[in-house]
Amino acid sequence: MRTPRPDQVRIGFYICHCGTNIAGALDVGEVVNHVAGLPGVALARDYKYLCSDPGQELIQHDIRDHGLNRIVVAACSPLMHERTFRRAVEEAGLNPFYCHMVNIREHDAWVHTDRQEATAKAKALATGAVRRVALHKPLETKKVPIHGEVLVVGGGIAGIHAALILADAGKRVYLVEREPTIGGHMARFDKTFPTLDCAACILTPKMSAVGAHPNITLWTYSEVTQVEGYVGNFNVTVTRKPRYVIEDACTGCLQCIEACIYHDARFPDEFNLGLGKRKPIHLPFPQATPPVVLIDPGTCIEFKTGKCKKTCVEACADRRAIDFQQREETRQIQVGTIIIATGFQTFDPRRIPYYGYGVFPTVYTALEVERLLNAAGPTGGEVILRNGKPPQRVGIVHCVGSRDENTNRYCSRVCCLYSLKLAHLIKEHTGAEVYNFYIDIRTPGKGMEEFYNRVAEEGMHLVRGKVADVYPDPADPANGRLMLQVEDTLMGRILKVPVDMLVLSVGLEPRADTQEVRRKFNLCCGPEGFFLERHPKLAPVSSYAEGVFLAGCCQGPKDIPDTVAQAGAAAAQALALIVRGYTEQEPNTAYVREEDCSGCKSCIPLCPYTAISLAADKQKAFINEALCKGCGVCVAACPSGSIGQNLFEDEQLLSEVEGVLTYA
Amino acid sequence: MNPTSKPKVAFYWCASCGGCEEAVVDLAEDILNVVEAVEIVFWPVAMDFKKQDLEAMPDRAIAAALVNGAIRTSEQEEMVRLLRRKSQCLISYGACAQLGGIPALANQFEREEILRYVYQEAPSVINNSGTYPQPATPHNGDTVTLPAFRNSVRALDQVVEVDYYIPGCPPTPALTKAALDALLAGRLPPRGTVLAPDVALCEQCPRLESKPKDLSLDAFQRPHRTALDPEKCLLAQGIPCMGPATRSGCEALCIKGNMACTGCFGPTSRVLDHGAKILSCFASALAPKEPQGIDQALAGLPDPVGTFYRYSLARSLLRRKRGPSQTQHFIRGNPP
Amino acid sequence: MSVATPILPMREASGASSAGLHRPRRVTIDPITRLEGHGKIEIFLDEKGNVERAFMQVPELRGFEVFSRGRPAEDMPQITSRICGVCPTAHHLASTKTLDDLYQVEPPPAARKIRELVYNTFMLEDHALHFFVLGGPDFVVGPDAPPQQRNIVGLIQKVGLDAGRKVIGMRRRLRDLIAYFGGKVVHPVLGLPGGVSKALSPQDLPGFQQLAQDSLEFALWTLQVFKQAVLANPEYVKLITAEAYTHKTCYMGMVDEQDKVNFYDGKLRVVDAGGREVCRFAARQYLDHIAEHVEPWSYVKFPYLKDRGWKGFVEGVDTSIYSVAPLARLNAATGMATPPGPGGLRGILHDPGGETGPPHTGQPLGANY
Ligand SMILES: Cc1cc2nc3c(=O)[nH]c(=O)nc-3n(C[C@H](O)[C@H](O)[C@H](O)COP(=O)(O)OP(=O)(O)OC[C@H]3O[C@@H](n4cnc5c(N)ncnc54)[C@H](O)[C@@H]3O)c2cc1C
Ligand code: SF4
Ligand code: SF4
Repeated sequence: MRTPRPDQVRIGFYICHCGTNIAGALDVGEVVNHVAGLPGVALARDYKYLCSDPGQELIQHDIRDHGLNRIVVAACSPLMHERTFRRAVEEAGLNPFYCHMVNIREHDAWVHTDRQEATAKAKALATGAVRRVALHKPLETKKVPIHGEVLVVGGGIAGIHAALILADAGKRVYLVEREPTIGGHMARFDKTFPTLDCAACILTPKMSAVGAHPNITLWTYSEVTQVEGYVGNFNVTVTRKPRYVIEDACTGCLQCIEACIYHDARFPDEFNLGLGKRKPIHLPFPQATPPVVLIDPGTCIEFKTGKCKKTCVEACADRRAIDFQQREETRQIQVGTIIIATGFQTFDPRRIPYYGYGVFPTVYTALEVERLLNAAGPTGGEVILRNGKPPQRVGIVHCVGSRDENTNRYCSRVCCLYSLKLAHLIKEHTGAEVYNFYIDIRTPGKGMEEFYNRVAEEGMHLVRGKVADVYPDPADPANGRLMLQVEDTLMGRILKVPVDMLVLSVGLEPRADTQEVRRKFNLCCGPEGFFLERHPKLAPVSSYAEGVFLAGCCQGPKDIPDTVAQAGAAAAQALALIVRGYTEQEPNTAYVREEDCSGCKSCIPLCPYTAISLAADKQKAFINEALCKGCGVCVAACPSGSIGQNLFEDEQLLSEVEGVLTYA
Repeated sequence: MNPTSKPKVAFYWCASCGGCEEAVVDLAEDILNVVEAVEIVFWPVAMDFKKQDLEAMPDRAIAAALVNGAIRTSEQEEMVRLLRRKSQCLISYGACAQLGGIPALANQFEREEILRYVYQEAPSVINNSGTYPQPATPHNGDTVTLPAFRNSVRALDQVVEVDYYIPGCPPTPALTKAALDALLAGRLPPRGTVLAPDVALCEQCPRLESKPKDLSLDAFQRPHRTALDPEKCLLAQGIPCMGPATRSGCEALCIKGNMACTGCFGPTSRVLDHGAKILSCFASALAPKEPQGIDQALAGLPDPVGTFYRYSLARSLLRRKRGPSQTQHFIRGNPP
Repeated sequence: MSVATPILPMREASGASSAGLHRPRRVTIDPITRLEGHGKIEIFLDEKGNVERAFMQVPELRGFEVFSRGRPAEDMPQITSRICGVCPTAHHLASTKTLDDLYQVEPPPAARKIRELVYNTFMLEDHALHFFVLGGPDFVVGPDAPPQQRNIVGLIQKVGLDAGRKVIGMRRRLRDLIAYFGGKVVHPVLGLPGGVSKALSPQDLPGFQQLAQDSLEFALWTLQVFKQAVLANPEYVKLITAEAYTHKTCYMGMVDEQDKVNFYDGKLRVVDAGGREVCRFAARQYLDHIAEHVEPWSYVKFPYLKDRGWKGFVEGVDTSIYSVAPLARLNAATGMATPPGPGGLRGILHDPGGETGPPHTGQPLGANY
């Protein structure tokens, strides 16, 4: 019933050697012989590189000379070359969707070692494809216009850089940042490796450029709460948290902070990681962008008791920027492309208890030390311990939460270098003896090895070995000194090193809410949990969601130069789409067979792209083809089988399955 | 009218309950017209024709045979093959013939398990001699025979070719009448058609309007544990209603009785496996997305097979429980 | 399965086949007809042509006792009704009442009344079915009529189209009432532990009251038909009271506190062929009183009185075999709970020949009326 009349369908079957990638792992000749005997197959061939020009021409000639009307290409993943072959087939006068690819490289040759079994599997897959392609229908690719606006999520250096490029190109950019200020991690650093230039000097100009740019709408203290639509036409809902200060009215004069009823700052300061103090009304740091203060309702007396004198309001006077009644607000925007630049979080060293972080006051994370070194930080740039004394002996432990079976197996890429940077800066600030405990020193990248050599020559102690234990100096537990037990693997001996400051070089991790963001934007995550790029080499800033690009550390650990490069690439990709003005819509969309639909509404809430609505007059479901991405959710869920999907028709899939099984 | 010039019609039952016979009788006044228009040549429940009478007829002498009931025994196989041979048109009548029906729930158990329980282990049985029904029992040099009890319950079309299907447990008089009228008038759709609307029940359901756009099921209710609103969509009340996946044509009778559709009309023509389809629909509509919440919601569905495959186990991809020694081609092969 | 025994005199059984003369004659009736359920009868005759042994075989097994396991309790009323689609209401309500017992809930009065209404309505229409469609044609059309006519069609020809319409129309109205509450009339869905799924709406009440009135008239008319077609015919009376058609078994039926017939609720009472009470028990104690016996030549099991033990297929006051259904029901009770209808319902059944028949009879010909 499902097999079409053989005189109508003339299938050409092509199997690619892919050099030795495929031909080395299975017997392509045997597959050709097998497929040649299947009903409907007019011709079966193998070829060394089908994706090459001569390979494509071979197919095109065969279509003309042999009257082929269906093509099956058994080669690599359709992600790689589906377009190539569809285009080739189209140029030869066939509808491109009469061409079907079978992935016998990633799905077969690369994953099997038994030649015979791999050959058998290729035959089975090819048989399925031959059965399926016979039932293909001609389809048309549609063009959908693209909105010129871009949403950038996350205002670290990645988001800032991307936003500026796009804005400078004349595009409207919405930059949404969760924190009250943009700047991300970089805003907390003092100097940056490898050049040791001051972070603020290179970052703050960009931050204020963002704040002032007419093409950039900056929403800090805000989050994206909903994304609907598809490439070119995303409908985004942004929720703006109340900062109890009217952004447009605040001039950043900071007189309110002065005037706050709390004379002294006495609440742990988030920006300084709790190392400093702030008042209920505060600005995260002097160069915060936007320079708009905010009130923390958790500590503000007015919020807690309603009985504060509100000296801040008095100080604000005519500007009337303070508004205790402010509520959360939502904004709706329409954008064509999205750049995700949500960055990373640092590893929480409490997860490795023997380092004593949170137990011994002299154990710090690297990020905390960045704040201590920073002239605008809680100690005005002086490296002093919690007891007020500068350290004399400092240990820096590398790879905390990196390259470790129990926590993260991957290398965080920047810790070696920032550890050397911190070693250098601490020495420079305090003259202390600094010990670096490392597993390997990794310094790839331009100028990095030179930087390492320079710092090493400054008289740093570099000990190759993992710190196995940290405990208070037994000789004098009161002096705050810690003993580090390390096996020096180069010298082959156990060392006990007393230090009075221990710095943990914490690794870079995906943010805690990564999964939530992933769902919201339809992204994928790799095994380490960072957002997955579409291809590690060929599409490193594309995500699996079309029109959504990745920039910075949300895609994986990297340093600032790479972050900025990637942000530039993401901006360029977004721009490329906008400039072209349209996207091509795969015709693998779902459609409702109206006369079959019972109006049961099961499909409506399921569509992740809100493509389905109920045609009220008819009580039938209706799929907006432009919104449908062909995910197939509704097709699977439609309880009466009344939704079909181009290229995934039941009969096509079942024939394919049957083909695979009849062979198997 | 000369009775022999009227088209001949036969009715037969296999593994069934007789409800389908009642459904024919429920044509009520209309049965008189049917009787007027056709000659009934075989109908065990109502008429005294025997198997021999059937055997004596020339092949294809019967215009249409309506067979209800699933197939479990060798005798049922023989009878339906005989009817197939004698009839121009073989119509599967009712859920058991079409899908296996309630008797096909037995496919969850192995043949030996069934026999052992029924004749030995059931608490009401006293069978110290270990007697089981036998294919042949000697009696004074003669034998009394019983048909063989097969490994599984099958739908009619898994045994013989079927021309049309009239669905339902049992079919409604209206559908029966429409089918007979079409048959008599010779305006039948393509062979293999199920003679009922090919749209799911929700469309006919008086409660459709109260069905929300987003069901967002966070729990399934059992009908005796909740006060049912007689106006509101049952699924919206958490009652597993098979309506969205089940062919209409039943006039939403169960719904009008304030109980959920249990799926006796089977799936629409576009669906291969009724149970899998409604399962995938419900699964998609579950509000909880994490394992614990999902388990909690599913606790309200203690018997998935009995709920989703109430009538269609024989016709499903699951088919039946397989004994370790029995191999069977899973997808399209015919079970023994 | 409704219990009915075909009354076809053997000599004219269609489908009867005989073996060679040197052997006892063997008569096969396959399939048995005009009753719900699958059956085949094998009769072996001795040299003289008398019945030596007969086998009533059920050639199939569906296995409800197996596949009901694992189902939610509340699904049972709908599953067990598939035991029989001619009397689904009986299985449905039996199962529903078991659920009451299982959950220890009493249905509220309105629900109980609805269940009784549905069940009694079913009793009426089902008996009408038996009389006019299944068993009755034997009498109305006549035992000597050709088998092709001994059915509802022949019956209508005999009693006239109007009468036929009357029967059919009445059954339709009665069955519509069942459907009103049960959704479907074949395999109703109303039963829930402790109640029913659907209530009666007040505006529908007058219609049902009228139906009750009409039903009574219909019953009386049916009685009239029966009297004219059967009782007025001395041949038939002789036939149905003949010894050959009498079974002396125990009888089981449901009775109320006063031992009167009750269709819906009460205790099960068993009496022997002499009318003496054998036992009396609540449904939930059935396992104490009833057991099932297995024979190699039938898929159906043979229930018998457990206390008496399986004694084989024997008749008499001591047999452990019991009958159920209308005749047994009357035998097991001391009478009907409602006053006898005009014409004396009790009379016809207990004493087809007159007003003074024996208190207990075993004529299976009357078993289903
Ligand atoms: C201790 C330390 C020292 C380092 N020193 C150096 C150095 O010297 N030189 C160097 O090259 N690199 C250094 N790095 C690496 C450097 O920090 C990163 O390369 C860089 O910060 C990456 O920038 P980003 O924009 O991708 O991420 P981030 O800086 O993490 O910025 C992400 C931004 O997105 C915001 N955000 C997150 N989620 C959301 C959301 N859902 N919605 C809205 N906004 C969101 C965050 O609030 C944040 O502002 C160092 C790293 C560490 C940990
Ligand atoms: S296939 Fe269905 S659910 Fe998926 S995008 Fe298209 S319409 Fe939406
Ligand atoms: S789910 Fe059931 S109750 Fe709800 S509209 Fe559909 S058929 Fe009616």
